[in-house]
Amino acid sequence: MISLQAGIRNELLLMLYRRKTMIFFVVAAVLPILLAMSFHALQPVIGLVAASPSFPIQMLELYTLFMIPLFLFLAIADLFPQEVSARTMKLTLLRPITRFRAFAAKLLALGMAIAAMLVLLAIVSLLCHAAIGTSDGGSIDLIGYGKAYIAGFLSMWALSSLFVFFAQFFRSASGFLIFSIILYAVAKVFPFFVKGFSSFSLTSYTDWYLVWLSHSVSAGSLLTSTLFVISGMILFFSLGYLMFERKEV
Amino acid sequence: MEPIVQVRDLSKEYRNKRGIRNIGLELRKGDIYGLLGPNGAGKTTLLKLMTGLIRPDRGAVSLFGHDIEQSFEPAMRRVGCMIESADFYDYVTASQYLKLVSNFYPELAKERIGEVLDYVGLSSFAQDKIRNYSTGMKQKLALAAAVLPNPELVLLDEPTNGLDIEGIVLFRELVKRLSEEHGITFLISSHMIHELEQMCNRIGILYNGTLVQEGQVAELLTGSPSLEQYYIEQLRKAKEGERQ
Repeated sequence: MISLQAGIRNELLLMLYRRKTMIFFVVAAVLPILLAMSFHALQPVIGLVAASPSFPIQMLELYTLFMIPLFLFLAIADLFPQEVSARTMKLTLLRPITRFRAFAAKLLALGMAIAAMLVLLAIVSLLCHAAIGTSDGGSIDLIGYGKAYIAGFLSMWALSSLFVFFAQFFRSASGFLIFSIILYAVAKVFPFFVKGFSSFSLTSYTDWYLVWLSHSVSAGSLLTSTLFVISGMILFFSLGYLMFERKEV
Repeated sequence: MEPIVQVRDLSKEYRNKRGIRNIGLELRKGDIYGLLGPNGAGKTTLLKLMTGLIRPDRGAVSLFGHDIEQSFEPAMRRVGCMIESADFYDYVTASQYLKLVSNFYPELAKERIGEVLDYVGLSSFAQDKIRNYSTGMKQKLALAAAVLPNPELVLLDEPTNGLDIEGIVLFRELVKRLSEEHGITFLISSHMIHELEQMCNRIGILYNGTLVQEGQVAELLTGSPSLEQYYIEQLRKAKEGERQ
């Protein structure tokens, strides 16, 4: 367990040492403020509701659709193909840590980074609502937000396991980055042409939190979709590890 | 005395048919073993196999009695390595990097990082980003990282590459000091034959994936004026044997 803890700590520290991670987190914190201020400023002109009680959910939509996937692609590119091409993977693999733990540490660190980004987003968007929200009487459903953010976290972590698997095929970070952005865009558009695709694609679960906010969705349906997301995550984690374990560094 | 390193019948063939064949090797505590061989002989492959970076087609490696396939963590806990080139995360400083390494060894004293930086003469550059380091400085940092966890076995692949004369002398003194004071065992692959002759008590010569000669330096050099001449002679014999 010491090696796993050390592995996670090191991956998180390396993420923090990378300037782009810090820039991403600063943008993630500032963007809701800028949007809330824009909504506030535009309110008298076009009647937009400034930072309404659903503002944290609107932000969650924006983040789970664009910001967090983009952050994930960049982080995964650094964690896998970049380490192969820069020959830094051996710096970890020559230490007393098994390949399984080294791989798990990378995925757990990704999960923690996603959680940190979502917590930051939740705090900032709630503060925005408190500071410049309208007094339209809308109440804040903290439990609902909590459920939505946890569902958002799960779907993003599952998405990361899918792209970690794809990353094992690449030896170049830029190649992986281009591939993942194109694949993600295609996977987002595909359901418009092929019915039923979204039920079987982890990329279609970026707005899964909406299901958790709905009062009309049955418990059985929630359970089925939760099991699908978790089993997808386990499947791609296992496939990714299988390839990582065979990798010659 | 139980050997620290046991390599048994180790073979690995790459797609281009290169690799190593049926290597057997034993290292005992306090040995300084020099691995010699021309480019492409399989020195790095052997070191990668010994540290689990690549998998063998056949054979086994055990370090301190632990098979590296079965119990990797206990086997590697007492090993320090520097394999292939000195590659680093160039966006971190030397002390940040050594801190990352030390996280795998919770028993290490905090002062150890400063100590090893001192050993290799990088103390005044500890807070510099590694991207600003020269090749020689990176090599020294890799050496510092290898000895950081107070290992009992150190595997070094071309450790003097890129080092200036002062760096080479410093390296030789460090190896001797660690061996004499702490009884650390070294396996050093290098082309610096004169350095190896001064440091090593045992030598192995790899040619075309096969260990063609192996033994105590003093015994091997009986009848040869220098290790260099002995090495050239062994290579010539190996080439002739190959032709026949």
